[in-house]
Amino acid sequence: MNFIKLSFRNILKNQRRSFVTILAVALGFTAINVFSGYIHNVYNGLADQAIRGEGLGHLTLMKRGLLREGKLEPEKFLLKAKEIEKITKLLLQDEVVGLVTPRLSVSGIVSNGKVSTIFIGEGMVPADTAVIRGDFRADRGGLLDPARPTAAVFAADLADMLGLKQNDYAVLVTSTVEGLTNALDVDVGEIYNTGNAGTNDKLLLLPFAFAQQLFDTHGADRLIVLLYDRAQTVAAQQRLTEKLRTAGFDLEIKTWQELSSFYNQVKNLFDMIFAFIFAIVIVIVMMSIINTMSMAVMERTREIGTLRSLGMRRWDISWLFTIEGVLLVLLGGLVGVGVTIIVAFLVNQAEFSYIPPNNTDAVLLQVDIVPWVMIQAFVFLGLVAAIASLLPARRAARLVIVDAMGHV
Amino acid sequence: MVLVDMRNVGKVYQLGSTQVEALRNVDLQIQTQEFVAIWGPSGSGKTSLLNLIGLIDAPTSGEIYLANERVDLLDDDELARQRNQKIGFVFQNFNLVPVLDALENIMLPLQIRGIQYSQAKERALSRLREVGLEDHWNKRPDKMSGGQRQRVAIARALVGDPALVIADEPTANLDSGNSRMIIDLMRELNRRDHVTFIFSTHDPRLLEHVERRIRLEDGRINGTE
Repeated sequence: MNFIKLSFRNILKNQRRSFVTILAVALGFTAINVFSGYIHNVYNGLADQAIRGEGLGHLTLMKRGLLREGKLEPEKFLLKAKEIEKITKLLLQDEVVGLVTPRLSVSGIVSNGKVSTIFIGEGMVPADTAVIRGDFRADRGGLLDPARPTAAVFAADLADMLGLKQNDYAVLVTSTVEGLTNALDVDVGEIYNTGNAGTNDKLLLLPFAFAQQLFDTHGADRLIVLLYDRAQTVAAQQRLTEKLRTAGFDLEIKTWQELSSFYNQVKNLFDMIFAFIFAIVIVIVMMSIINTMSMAVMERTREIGTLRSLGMRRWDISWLFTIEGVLLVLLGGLVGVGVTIIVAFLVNQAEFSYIPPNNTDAVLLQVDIVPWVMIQAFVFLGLVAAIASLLPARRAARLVIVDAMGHV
Repeated sequence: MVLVDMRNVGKVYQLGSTQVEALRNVDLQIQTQEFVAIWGPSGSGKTSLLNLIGLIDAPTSGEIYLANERVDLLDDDELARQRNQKIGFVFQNFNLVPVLDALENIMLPLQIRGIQYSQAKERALSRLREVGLEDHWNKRPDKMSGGQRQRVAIARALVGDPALVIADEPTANLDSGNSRMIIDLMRELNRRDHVTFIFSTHDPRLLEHVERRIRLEDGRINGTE
């Protein structure tokens, strides 16, 4: 018995009702796809911002406890030069690792000679900053110049606060690893907008050797690992942790995602909004299907009686109406795929822009086409349709044949 | 050989708080290849009796045997199987599936039985030819006349080679010409294929052609001629 053909013809027979149901499903499905495409784009942007813009790389290696107690006892958590050398060599043996580079955090006061303010500085190897940045916002600048070992990159608002311009100089006052006060002159290299309101008034990028000088150490507090493929991050984290433990290093490895609290906050927020939209769409789809299939059962009561008298089992009747409900949703889904592609194209072409919270720059509103999310939503809506169809389908199956035959 | 054997069968319907006794102590035997009419006034229980024989309703009391197998105690799935394999139905309102064409409607019982499409199609075409509608195979019910629809319904009833065809007032919605044609067709198929026909009717023209008339009155059999 070809249930699909029978169901499909019944869908075509009730064109107007089927059209409205398919449209409702298509619009709901489009809403899911467009929003998931948008947040996919946002997540990718934030990931790039964290990994390449903020220079977190994919993995950060540090001595266990650095994040909790590193400020209290910095010397305890510093990686010594020999350790750095050994670990770097070990890590580079892994085929997914593209770059290993040391980092050193310093903080203190920066002064123009008249006024001063706090800064947080990141000591990084100048040549490696360009590798980590890659082509991410290449036009924005903010890279350390390997040829200028005493030039720092100043965040734009910080430079503004101190009235500093490129090639001016300032004084950095910090504590050394042993807690003594240290001060060094620093040249103003580039001035750049970090893109983040939280860091744009205090961030300094310092040449790594310069930061070591400030801190009076030959070590580093972290090692940044850049992978060839972001998708390998978690697998590499586990594998490298094990490899280092075997080699006798008690280090913890954090992924960029674990360290980027902003990414996590935004992702949690968007995930919750997505779940909310998804729930609304599911309710709409369920109500549409239940309504449509209930009407179909009512209209075809006599037909159900006829089919039962010809030998169809209750289960067959139930299956027939369930298939019809699922088909409606699948057709709605197919239409939704088309509408999604059109909407995404139009939105992307329109190049709308907006300034997200905590950002200093406008970003483009873009919608990605994410096939795997569409497939998942498609399958899920199909299941929802099956469940929604079950209620009217069960009612159809439970009809008493003689009552159904007498139905007008 | 006895095809249908009803022993002391009763049927009571519950309508709200009222009980309606549709059939009372019915004892009835129908032989294979018979051409039997059940007649009587409206409300006499004709349709109730046919529903019980056709296994689409269950008796309140008594026993029913079909081809020597007790059928009133079978579960729902088994009843469906028995209906599909042993019984064909012709309804007053034709009851064709509107979204299927004539050929597909006739194939339906075979497809429900699980017979392959090509084989079902071949058998359905053969039955369609027998009822003279081979040129109308691709017409849907709404494009056919009442007589044509009832011929399709008869072909559908016979396509599974059932032992028994039950027809509930098959000519009630047809004009006299079509009624005559349907009566002749059923009679011919009864004689040629040795299929047992049981039908209810008010139509005196139909009653003239039957071998046996069973008169029902107030849910009781009131004479067989």
